[in-house]
Amino acid sequence: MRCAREFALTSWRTQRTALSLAAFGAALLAFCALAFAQAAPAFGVRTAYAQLVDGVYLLNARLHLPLNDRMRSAINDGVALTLELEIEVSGARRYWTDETVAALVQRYELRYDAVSDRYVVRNLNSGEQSSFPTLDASVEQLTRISGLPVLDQALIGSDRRYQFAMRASYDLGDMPTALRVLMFWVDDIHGVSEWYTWPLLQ
Amino acid sequence: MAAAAVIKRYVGYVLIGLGVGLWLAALLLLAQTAQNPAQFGDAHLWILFINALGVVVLLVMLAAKLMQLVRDYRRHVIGSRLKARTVAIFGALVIAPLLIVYYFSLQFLNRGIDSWFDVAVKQELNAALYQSRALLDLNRREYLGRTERLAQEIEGRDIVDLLRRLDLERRGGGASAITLLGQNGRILATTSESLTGPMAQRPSEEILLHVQQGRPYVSLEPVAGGGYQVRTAVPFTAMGEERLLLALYPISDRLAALADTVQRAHRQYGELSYLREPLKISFRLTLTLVLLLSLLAAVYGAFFSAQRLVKPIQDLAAGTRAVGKGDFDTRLPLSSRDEMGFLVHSFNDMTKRLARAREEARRSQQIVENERASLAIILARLSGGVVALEPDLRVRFANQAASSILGVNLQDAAGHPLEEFAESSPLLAQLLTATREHLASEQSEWRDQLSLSGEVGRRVLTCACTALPGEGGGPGGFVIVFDDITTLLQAQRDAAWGEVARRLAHEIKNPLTPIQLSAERMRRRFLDSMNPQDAEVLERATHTIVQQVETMKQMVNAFSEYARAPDMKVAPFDLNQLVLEVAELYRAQDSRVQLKLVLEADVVELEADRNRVRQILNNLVTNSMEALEGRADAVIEIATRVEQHAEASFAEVVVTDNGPGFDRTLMGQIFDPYVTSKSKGTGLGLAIVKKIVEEHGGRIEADNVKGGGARVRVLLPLTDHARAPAAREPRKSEMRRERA
Repeated sequence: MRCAREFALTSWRTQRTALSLAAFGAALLAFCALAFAQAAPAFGVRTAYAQLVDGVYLLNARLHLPLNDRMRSAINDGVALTLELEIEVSGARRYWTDETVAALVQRYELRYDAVSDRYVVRNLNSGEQSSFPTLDASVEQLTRISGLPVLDQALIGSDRRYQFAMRASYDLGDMPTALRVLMFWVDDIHGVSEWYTWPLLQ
Repeated sequence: MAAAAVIKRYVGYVLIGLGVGLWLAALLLLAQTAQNPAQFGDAHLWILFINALGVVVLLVMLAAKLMQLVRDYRRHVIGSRLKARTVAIFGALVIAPLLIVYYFSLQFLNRGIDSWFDVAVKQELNAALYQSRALLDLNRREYLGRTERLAQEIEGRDIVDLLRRLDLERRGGGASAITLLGQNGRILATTSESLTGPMAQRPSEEILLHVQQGRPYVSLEPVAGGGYQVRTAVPFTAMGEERLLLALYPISDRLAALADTVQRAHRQYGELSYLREPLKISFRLTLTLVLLLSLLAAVYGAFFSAQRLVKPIQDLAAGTRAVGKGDFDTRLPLSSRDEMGFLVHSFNDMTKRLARAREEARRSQQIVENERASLAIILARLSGGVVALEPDLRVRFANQAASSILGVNLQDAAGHPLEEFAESSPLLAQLLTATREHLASEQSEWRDQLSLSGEVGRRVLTCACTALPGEGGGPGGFVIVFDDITTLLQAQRDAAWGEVARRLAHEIKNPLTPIQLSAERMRRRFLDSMNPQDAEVLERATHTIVQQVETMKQMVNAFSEYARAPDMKVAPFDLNQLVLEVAELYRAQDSRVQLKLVLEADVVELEADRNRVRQILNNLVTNSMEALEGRADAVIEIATRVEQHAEASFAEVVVTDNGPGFDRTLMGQIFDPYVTSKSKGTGLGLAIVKKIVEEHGGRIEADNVKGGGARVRVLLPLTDHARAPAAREPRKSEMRRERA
């Protein structure tokens, strides 16, 4: 009788502990979900696709680059924002790792010209630049990639599957690596997106 | 334990080596960045990492040192308190100034960096910017005005004239390109410095937005590669369609250079402002790391110095403890030549001297032990007794001969008072009394011949006492050397009596016969011729002469018997049978004395001279009967038995009576001739018995029975073969007695 009572008591205690843990876990999950729901969309590639035009695959992509007040203020103070796009085209191989068919790094710069009171977006690869009266207009221009030639169709074989991958990163200011490491808790100095991948449709 | 210490030491070495290596690597990187500042960004990270690693390594080493110190402190390890105090003092001396320097450096750093972004600088920059803008704004307005005037001029012109005018205006007005667009963005006319100029592009959305609102557009745009240009766009209506006149005017090089300078300054200031906080953090971190490194290195240095300071003390303590435990071979390492080194050197010198002294003492002790052992052997072999006494007469040492002579075991009596043993030994009691008498008369060195009476008779000892040297002038003890010369004296007496007997036999016996014959002749010749009265006198006188001569003959014969040379006829015979015969003879002579025989059946045969053994029995029984004269309950007991000794068997004959016993004063002389307490007898009976017993290689003892009476015990070897060793055995005994 006593054993039965102790067993019942023990199982009740075990159940109570399990319930408490479950409640705590649920609360934690809810808190995390709420936090993620309220957080602004992070920096990254929103959409990207390749279009075959005259035997060349042209990249069209839209990025999402949220700028907070600190970043806006830094840019308005003359700090340059550098955007770097890493684009890779890989072909699948049997029993072996994928082959990188093409790899491209495209760099852009957005900076504020205080004398002209305009925001300049410059392609660091080609040197082309354009200016905009507002920061948002310049960011809009920066985050819209259209018609960027990526791959010649001749490099693509018909019997293999190919995949595009794209990743973007930005750096606010030409900060030394050490300082960037020291400011690791400040996420507006440097950002890297996840890889955005899609298959090549022939 | 030793392996753990070795591992610990090696880990310490590895950590120190790692720290030094990291420090050198940091210095190398620093030197490289000094030569090439462009690498500072990457190298700085490594320098920070190395320093952080150095801090971690130092922290680990310090933690280990601190734990060791705490452990030693709790265990009360010698030197741990001094070490803790030294570390605390050194640490405080180092930490306090470092913290002060750190605080002021931090303040200086913050203020220094903040001073770069002074308000005045910012204001001056803004002023330069506004001036530049104002100047360029004038240019903008002027170029917009030009474009508007050109638009008015070309409103009604045909296309050929239009082109000429635009080209003329471009060349004269300083424009780099002018383009006229018709409806739907159609290019009506364009002129440019180069055919691939920017005017071939479509107007931007920004321009179109302005134009759609009917407003002219003008903007200052930076040019790739440096410089500025003014872009204008003026909408107008001509020939019934909406047209747009676009123009680009480059800013003059001088003005552009000025604007670029202002722009560059503004940008650099902005970037610096942006980097202000990271810079502060970087400098703070660097400063903190340097401080931490210095601090930890200083504390570790304090530990190291304390260890260096305490180590000789710990060594000294351990060495002292080892010396305390008797390890004089301890040598401490001579680490320095300062006062501590002098102390260590003195300690080593002291232990060396102690070791040498101990070795010498050990050698001396060994010599003393050897000499003592030799002395003990000599003393044990000495026939004389040696007793060493403390000043309070406690026994320090006694040899075997002393125990044998005094009849008491003194071998294990060391440390006990001599008086304890006097009760069980009358000889020792008398010797002690004599010793005390001499000491009482302050004679610490004396020599004497003591006649002592014991249970077995009188013993004569020659004693010599010597005082041992002691502290403070007094005697440190006494050594009494004594020898039992009883047997020696007895032998001397025996020899003297033998000589007397021979002389008597020779000098006295010869004249006796003529005296007797002369007396008898005188009686025969004159007795008959004399008157009766004279005849009676003569008769009586001659009778007396003859009788006395006869007595003297008997006495001389007895002496002759005593002094004659041994001439034994040894043959086996039944001793018990002989005892029975003698007893029967005496029972027949005197029935008043009860003769009691206790004969052991084992006594079968005795190889000896039967007649002489009979004489022994006769003399002993006669002696007892003479002593028992007048006693109604006279009893004489004759007992025989076999006594087994180590080398031979003996026939023991014991004759006991219940008479008055021997006179205690004569106990040592009862076997001497003419020593007797009786009124009758020649006094040669026991002397002759002793002589016969000795001739047979036997032994004789006489003592008194406790209940009253005398007892004589005779030991005779059973066989003639056993007589030789048996003869030696009594001699040994005699030797001992001589010693005694």
